[in-house]
Amino acid sequence: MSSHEWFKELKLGNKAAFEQLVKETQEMVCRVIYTHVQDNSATEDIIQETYLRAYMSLNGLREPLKVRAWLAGIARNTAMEWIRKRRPQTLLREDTVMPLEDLLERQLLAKKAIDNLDSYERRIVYLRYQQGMSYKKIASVLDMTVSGVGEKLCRVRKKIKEEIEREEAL
Amino acid sequence: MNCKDAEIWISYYLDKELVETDKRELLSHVSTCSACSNLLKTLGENDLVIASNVQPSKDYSPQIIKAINAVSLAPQPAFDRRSTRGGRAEGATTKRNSVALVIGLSGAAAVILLSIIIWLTLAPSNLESIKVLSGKVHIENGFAKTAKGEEGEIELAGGHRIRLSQNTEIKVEKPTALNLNNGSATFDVKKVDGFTVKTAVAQVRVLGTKFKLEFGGNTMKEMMVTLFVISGLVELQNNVATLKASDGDTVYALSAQEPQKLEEKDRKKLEELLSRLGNDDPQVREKAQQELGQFVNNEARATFVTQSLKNADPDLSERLKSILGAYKNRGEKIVYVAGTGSQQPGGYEVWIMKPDGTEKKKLTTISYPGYPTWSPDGKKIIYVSAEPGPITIMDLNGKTQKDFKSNIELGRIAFPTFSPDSKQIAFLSRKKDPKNQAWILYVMDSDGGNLRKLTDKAYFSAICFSPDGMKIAYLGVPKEENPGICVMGVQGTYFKQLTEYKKSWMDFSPCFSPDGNKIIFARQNPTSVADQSGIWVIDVDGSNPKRLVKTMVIVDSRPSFSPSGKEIAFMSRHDGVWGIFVMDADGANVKRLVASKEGGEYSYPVWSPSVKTGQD
Repeated sequence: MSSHEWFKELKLGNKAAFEQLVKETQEMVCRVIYTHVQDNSATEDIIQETYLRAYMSLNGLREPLKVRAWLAGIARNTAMEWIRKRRPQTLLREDTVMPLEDLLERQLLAKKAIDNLDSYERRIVYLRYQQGMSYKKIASVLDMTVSGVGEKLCRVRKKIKEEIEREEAL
Repeated sequence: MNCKDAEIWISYYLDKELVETDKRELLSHVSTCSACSNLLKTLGENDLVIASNVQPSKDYSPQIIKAINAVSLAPQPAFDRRSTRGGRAEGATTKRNSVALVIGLSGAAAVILLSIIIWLTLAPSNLESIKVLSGKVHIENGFAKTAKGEEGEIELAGGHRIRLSQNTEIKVEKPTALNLNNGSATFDVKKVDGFTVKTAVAQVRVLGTKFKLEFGGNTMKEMMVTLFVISGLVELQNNVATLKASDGDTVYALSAQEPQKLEEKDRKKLEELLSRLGNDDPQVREKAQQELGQFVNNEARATFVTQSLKNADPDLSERLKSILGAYKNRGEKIVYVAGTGSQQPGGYEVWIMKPDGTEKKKLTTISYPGYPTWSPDGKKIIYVSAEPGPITIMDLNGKTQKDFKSNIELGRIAFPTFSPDSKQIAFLSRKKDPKNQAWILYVMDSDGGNLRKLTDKAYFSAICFSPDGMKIAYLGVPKEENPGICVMGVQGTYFKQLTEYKKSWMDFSPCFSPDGNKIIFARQNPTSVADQSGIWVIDVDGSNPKRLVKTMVIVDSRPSFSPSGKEIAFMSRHDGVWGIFVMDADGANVKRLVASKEGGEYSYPVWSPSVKTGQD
């Protein structure tokens, strides 16, 4: 099936074509959602909700090349809605400020930059960002001083920033 | 703070590991440094994407297909463009009303506003009422837009002015609502908590875009400060947007109502002070300067006045800055002697501390040093080591730089004092002689040479050079049994006695004011405390003596002006406990810095000088 045919099938609601879409895009969708909700179990729920909505709105899909951006938009809106439900006093806007393409690109570059860190640095990033540990906790886990953790994280941030900027310049 | 420090502090800040005071300092630096401001923004955004570097825990496709089958969903026809773009959030309109909506999302490491919409309720108007006041703003279909490199200002019905920076799009969705989509626009901002700032510029950072919210009125823009709201949640209700920092410690309000103005009385006061500062009469200027100092009597307010003025009136800003600079130049440290009074090591030592009583540091470990005071550059301390010992000069780590052992033959030495140009040292000296209580006042070059006797009719008391270095104030006994505060020219040609011994009291420890016009001294009346005892001030010609503070007993007191002349440090048993105190130059606000319960007696507090350029 050519990509053109695949896209035609997808628009018609072909489940096999849609399954392929899910497989190819779920990592990106997962990151977009996590960016917003910062919550693993919520992210899982929202992934499913996102694809259900996407499936329902396949008719509106026009350009094959923009499938990813279209899906990212749905993911973001679904995530936003989830947040709004959690904070009923707050109203939500539907489109976001940072262009989605920029966010997606930055995420890819950051991923690359993190992959380029040495294993020790990756571990400290994991503990800080994914585990949300304090300096004190990280210090005890990695047998470092608290100020050592602070300095290391400062250096890692700098490294990632430079890496992203270098890639962006290319 | 410099940018190098800021880099690591930003990292700590993003990780919420920075203590409150450091946080304020960092944000204050960031608000004035565009490089660090950009760094904070970029790192904050990066944090968000780093934190979202997650992998799906499994392949979701089977479960999703199963769900699609289960609910028999089918792609829906006839979607409008909006839903095509992004699956319109159901129910999103339910709460859209006259107030605004904003959402903030927290990141694991940094919480940055992800998106923000501010809907401002304006006075009823129609869309045609958007008026371009200046710059290039394109108005069409209810949108006000600026392109890249363009900016301008518009006015909406009700007189609300919005300044648009480049790449800004503002949509007037209804006659009564404004939707800020992108770029930056100006509104008035009222901070409701924390500092007393009433109006401000707030920069609301959001992912990918910076919203700069500025004070919207065109009056008293000088009262603006920059507030960085880089994280938190914005909620709008009743036309007021409240920004809550993620840690809940800062609350701002963005008001969509009439622009906030500087309180009229504050504004009047400021203008009145500024006009008096331009007066030809130096006395009027000095008075106004003092009042301005009081008006901006804390650093936050001073920073606030100078920073905000910078944009509005650079000239005025410069003038204020120099005035405030002089005001803030209050001397970094106070040196003093503290101890239990024991002759053992540690019994008495030289200490320094900040004028607020913090950061106490012991400099000597020799026991019984005496009479410490500062070199004019504030980098060294001159004192008498291990009394009776030589005049010694040490650095602020207690390391001896120089001593004058040859002077020991002069006898006991007291109160070595640098001249303001550092070229001479004056001191008192006395040989053991029960019949003669008088001390000799010597002056020598600061290398120890050219020793000369100024007078042998001095008493034991602190001495002080005048700021121009031409005179020395000391406690003299020019006539038999009639000691008093005297001023003598360093060449011995000028002499004036300012006060006289009245049988019951005694004056001592004179200290020139930084402008050289006044002398403060301590007066002690052992027979009647209420009568005369206390810290006094007198004009250098001996007129206008005035008691500033009444004290119980004063021993070894050495009142010392701060370099600005606005405060005086002294030692006293002011309220029954010995200690070192600071008060305003007019005797108000007496504040204890150290108390004897912290370990013995305290004496000889001397304020460090303001550092003058050209001296090192």
